[in-house]
Amino acid sequence: MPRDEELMLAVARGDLAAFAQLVARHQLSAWNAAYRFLGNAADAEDVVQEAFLRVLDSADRYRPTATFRAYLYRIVARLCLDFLRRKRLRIYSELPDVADEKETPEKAFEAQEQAAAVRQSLNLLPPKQKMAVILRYYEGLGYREIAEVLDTTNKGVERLLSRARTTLAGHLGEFLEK
Amino acid sequence: MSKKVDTMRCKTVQKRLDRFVRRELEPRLQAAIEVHLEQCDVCRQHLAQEERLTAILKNTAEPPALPKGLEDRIIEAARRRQSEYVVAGPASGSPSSKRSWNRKKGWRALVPSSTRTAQATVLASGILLGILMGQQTWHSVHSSISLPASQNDPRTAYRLDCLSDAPDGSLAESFLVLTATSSSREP
Repeated sequence: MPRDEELMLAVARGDLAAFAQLVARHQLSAWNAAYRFLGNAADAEDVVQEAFLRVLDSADRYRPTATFRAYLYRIVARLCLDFLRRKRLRIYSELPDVADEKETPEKAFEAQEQAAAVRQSLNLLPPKQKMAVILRYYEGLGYREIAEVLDTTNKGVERLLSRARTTLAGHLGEFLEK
Repeated sequence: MSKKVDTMRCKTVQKRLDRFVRRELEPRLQAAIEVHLEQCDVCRQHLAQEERLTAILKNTAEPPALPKGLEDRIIEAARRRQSEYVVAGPASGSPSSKRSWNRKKGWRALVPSSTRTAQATVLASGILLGILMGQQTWHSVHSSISLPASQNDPRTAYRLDCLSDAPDGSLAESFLVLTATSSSREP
C-alpha cells in the first residue's frame, strides 16, 4: 500500500485516483477534528471539503517534512480558526447524546450532564487552546505534531495545553472530584 | 534497599504529566517523574486529576458518522477544479498539461498574458517616474538649503552689523572670526 507521501507526489502529477485514496484514508480524522471544533455538521463538512481541495491545490508545493496527517490537520485547523474569526462562532450544542442504553436513567442523565459541561467548557477556551485540546485528547497527536499544526513550538503547545487544563479543571471541578 | 533520589521540581513534573501518562517522555525523564510521584502527594493529586480529565473528555459524545456521500462530493469538487486548470487542445493528454492544472492557478490563470504585460509596463513606468521625481525634489531641496556665500559672513547671517566696526583684537572681533570659521565648516 503506497504511503501518504507517495500518494501526494502522485497527486502533484495530477493523479486523481491517488487523491481519492488520500481522501478515503483521512476524511474521518479531518471530519472529527472539524466537527469537534465547530460543533456543527454543515460547517464541518464545508471545512473538510475545502481542506482537501487545498491539499489538491498545493500538492506540487508539498514537501514531506512532516507526516501527511499533520499537514492535513494543519489545513483543517487553519480553516477552523479562520471560520471562527469570520463568523464569531455561535456556540452549538448539537453533539449527540452518548448515554448507554444499558445504563440506568440516573447514570444516563449524569453522562449527558457531564457531556454538556465538557462541551460548554471547551467552548469557553480560546480557539488555539481548544484546537490543541482536540488534537491532543481526541485525535491523539503528540506535542511535535500539534506544534506543526498550530505553527508553534513544543513549549508553546505545553503552555496552550496547560492553560486549557487549568480552565477545564476550573469548570469541570465537580466532575473531576467524583 | 537505597531510597531513590528525587531530583525534580513539582512544577516541572506537573507540566509533563499528560505525556507521562501516555509514556511519551524519554525513559530517563519518565523514571525521574515516577520517583518524584512516589514521594509527592501534591503531584499524585495532579496525576489523578489529569487521568480523570482525560477520561471525562474521552467520555464526551463522538462526532456523528461522516455525512453520506462526503467522499464523492470531495472527489467531484476536485475533478471540477482539475478540469478548470487542464489546458484544452490536442496536447492536453500529455504529462506536462496534466501538471499544469495545479501549476497554472490563482489570478495568473484568470488574467491573459497580454494584460499581465501591460500591467507590468504601467507599474514599471510608474516606478521610473517616481524615481525621477524623487531625484528632482532631492536636488531642489538640497540647493535651497545650501547657504549663499554672503551668509557665511556672520555679520550678514546673524544681523550683527553693529559689530562691523569692532576694533582689531577685541572680544567682538574674536567672536566674529570664531562664528565665521564654525559656519564655514558646516555642511
